[in-house]
Amino acid sequence: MKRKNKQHDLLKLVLLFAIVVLCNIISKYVFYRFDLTSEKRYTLAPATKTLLQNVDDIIYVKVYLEGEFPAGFKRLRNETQLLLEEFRASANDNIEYEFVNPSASTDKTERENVYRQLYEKGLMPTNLEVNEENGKSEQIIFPAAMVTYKGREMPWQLLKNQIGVPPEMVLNNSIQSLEYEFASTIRKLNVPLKPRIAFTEGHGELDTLAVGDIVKSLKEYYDVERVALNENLASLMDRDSSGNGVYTVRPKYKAIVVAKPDSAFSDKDKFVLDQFVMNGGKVLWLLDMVYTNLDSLSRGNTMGLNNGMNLEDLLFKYGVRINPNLVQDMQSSAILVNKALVGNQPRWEMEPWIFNPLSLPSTNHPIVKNLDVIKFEFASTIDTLTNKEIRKSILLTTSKYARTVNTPTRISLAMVNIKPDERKFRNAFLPMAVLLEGQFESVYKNRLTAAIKQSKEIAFKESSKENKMIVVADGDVIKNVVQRSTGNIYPLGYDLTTRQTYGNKNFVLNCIDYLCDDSGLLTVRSREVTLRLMDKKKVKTQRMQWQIVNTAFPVMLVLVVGVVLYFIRRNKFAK
Amino acid sequence: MMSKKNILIFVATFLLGLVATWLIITKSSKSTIRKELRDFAVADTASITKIFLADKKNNSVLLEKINGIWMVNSKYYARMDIMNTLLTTVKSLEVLNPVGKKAQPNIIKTLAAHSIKVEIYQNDKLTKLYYVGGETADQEGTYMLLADPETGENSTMPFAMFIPGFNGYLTTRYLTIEDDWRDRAVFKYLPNNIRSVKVQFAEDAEQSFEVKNDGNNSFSVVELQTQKPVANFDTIAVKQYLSYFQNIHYEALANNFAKKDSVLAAPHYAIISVTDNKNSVNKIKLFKMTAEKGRVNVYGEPLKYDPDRLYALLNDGKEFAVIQYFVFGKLMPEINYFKKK
Repeated sequence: MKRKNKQHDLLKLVLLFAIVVLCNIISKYVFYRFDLTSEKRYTLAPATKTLLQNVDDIIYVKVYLEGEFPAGFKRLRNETQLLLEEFRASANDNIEYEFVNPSASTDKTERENVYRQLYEKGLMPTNLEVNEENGKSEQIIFPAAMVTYKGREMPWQLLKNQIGVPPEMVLNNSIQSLEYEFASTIRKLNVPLKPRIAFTEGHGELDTLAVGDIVKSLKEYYDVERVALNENLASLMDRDSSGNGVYTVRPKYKAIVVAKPDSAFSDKDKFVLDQFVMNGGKVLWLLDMVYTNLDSLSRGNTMGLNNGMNLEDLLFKYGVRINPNLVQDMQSSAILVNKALVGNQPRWEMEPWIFNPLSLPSTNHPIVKNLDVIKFEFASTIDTLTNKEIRKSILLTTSKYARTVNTPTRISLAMVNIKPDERKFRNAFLPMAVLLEGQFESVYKNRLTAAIKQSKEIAFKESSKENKMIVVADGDVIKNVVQRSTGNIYPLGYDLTTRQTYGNKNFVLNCIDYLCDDSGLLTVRSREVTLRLMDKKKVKTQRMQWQIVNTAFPVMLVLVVGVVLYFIRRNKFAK
Repeated sequence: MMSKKNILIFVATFLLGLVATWLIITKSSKSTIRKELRDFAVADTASITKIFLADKKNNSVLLEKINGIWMVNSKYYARMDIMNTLLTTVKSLEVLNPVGKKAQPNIIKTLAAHSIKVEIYQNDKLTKLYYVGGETADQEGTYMLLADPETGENSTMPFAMFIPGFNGYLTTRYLTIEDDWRDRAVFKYLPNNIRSVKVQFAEDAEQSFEVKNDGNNSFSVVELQTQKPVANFDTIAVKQYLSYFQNIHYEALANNFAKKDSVLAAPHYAIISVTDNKNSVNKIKLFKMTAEKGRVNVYGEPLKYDPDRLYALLNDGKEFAVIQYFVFGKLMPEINYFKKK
């Protein structure tokens, strides 16, 4: 009898052990998550879900983040897989994915061919330093994926590089952006017709070379044109006549970009712009309110003069004023200055240049969240006006240590020799880029003759429906460096002096995305995933203590429970 | 007798075991697409013993490894360059992307009409069966469809396949024409395996010669017209000459050339005969090729014969091919070549 019981107990133990093992195996494949995180990091945003409902064919995602790499990247890999599973569940299994190791081949040439192919497709590699027994070695990884939908493919960069941000934060920010970046890629692949956008010309705006890089990037997602206003309403708007004298007016372009004009807009051109806004067109204004001649600066001095563009009243009516001043910021990029004495060989040295502020986005707005620092050159400040109809969101500001100088002002290269005094830079966070949203009122309301106002052909509108525009008080934000002798253009945001690439391109792309996107998808960018990092100081001092607690405590607990149970059973059966 | 509780636990374990097994078999954590649908590649190409390729125009080719040598339709040696390319392709195939649901019917229809059937045998057992179609719109991928090697039943999910690191489509690697696969070697002899080489010129008969390998590093050269041995010949030149016969290829077969008969009716240019140690003779007959109209020499005078190419009758006159002076020229030196300078 006793032996039989023993056999039964043994069988029971084996079976229970098997159940535990099998449950573990099953849970590896089938999982359901209850999102108990405070930030709901594992719940897709409504805009994403709506987007996925419109997916009617297979989206194939090939993720190249597979292999052996540090824990941070493993986390990025696993988070990507979890996100893909979430997307898959919401897209009726229309999402298929595969994780591939691009470094799998043992043949060096083959590996390099794969790297080259991925790079040509737009996937950006990252160099990792790996600790080995004999020292350190470099490893190339591709924290990126290729997304294919209906025969079109588009890269999805999982890791978003940010200058001056600690690696843990970069990884965390990248994980935060995963949902938006993937959803955004799907949206771009799923658009049957690219939205049309245009760069205005005719007022000294930046030429095709100076905006070449951003136009190239925008062309992946938009039909980009150049348009001269020519004081003609038809330049920005289509007018259809229904035959009874009633005209339907609609913008030709989803958005227009006014990139660093340097001469005045005529009233008729302003009217064209105003009616474009009133009819729902979006505008990205990049305006230099102060004119500075950099060529003169190379001779030592230049002047900052008011750049009369005749747009003040228009912008004022929409809710902002760009001040005719120049920002000086202690957080700035640098310029090369010849420090050699006259007559000697030139000796170029990099010096901070307070007229080139670097703006690190600090708000949670989806346009700028987690962006790299954005470089300005001779920027002005923006005042927002009390206009209840318009919501104003400050997108970019100066640093804590800034000030302004009013124009006209003399700008001298010799200023690099004066060490900026922190006490004199007392204006903190001066706005340099503002988003305006709401119902805009026409600057021409109550200013037109009855004939124009009542003209069916002109179809004047006094106010807009819900609309948006972005005003940036520096045209150079969108200007890439051009080597005029060869026509070569550098990536937007690349600084020849510091050899850094700033976040200007992503900022402009996000601006256009935000203006053109009616789905609200960009709001997904503002989601916050809290980085719960360990306190490095505590880790250093209390490491051993916690290691002992974590290893010894469970064993002790089991022993204590065992002893207690033993005595309980002995008491019970002794009776 | 087992208690009810134990039976319950036993049943639960059994069911969980079934679920776990099914999940392990069907799911891979690295991909959501079932392996059996996308598993085109054969990792171990060394174990491949046979590859059969057939297209819809009734062209087919059987590549077989016989005694470690790849043969074409059991008749000819296979060209190792394209054989290696095929084996690399078979090994490295990866999914570029699955074909979208909406495009699937069209692609399957196209594959049914125009595709190449590929059968791969490992250790003489059919282990892989798939169909190779045309290229994707961007020419980066090639449509392929797997089939069950045992039942022959086609998969329902076609894929665009590619080779990582390679830009281009792969259909052209699956050749179904026998001639494309044949090794183009005309002469493939190690110098020590050659007993004699006889070169007979039709026009300059006095230049005809025979080189003999008498064994033990002993050679002789004979003037064929006079049948006199060449005295004091250069042994190094003879050795050099015999070494040329290791890798001599024709450019292309021209069996279906319309003017073949008129070429063969004309006087030949030369005959090269190689006799090996087993007394097997490999004889080729060379004919000059008429130059294309309008071709001139450096002085601007019209050329009668093509300065680059010739015709050759190979394999006991069974085959007709185009060859190049660049390759065959060194096999037909003047007799002075062997004489000591």
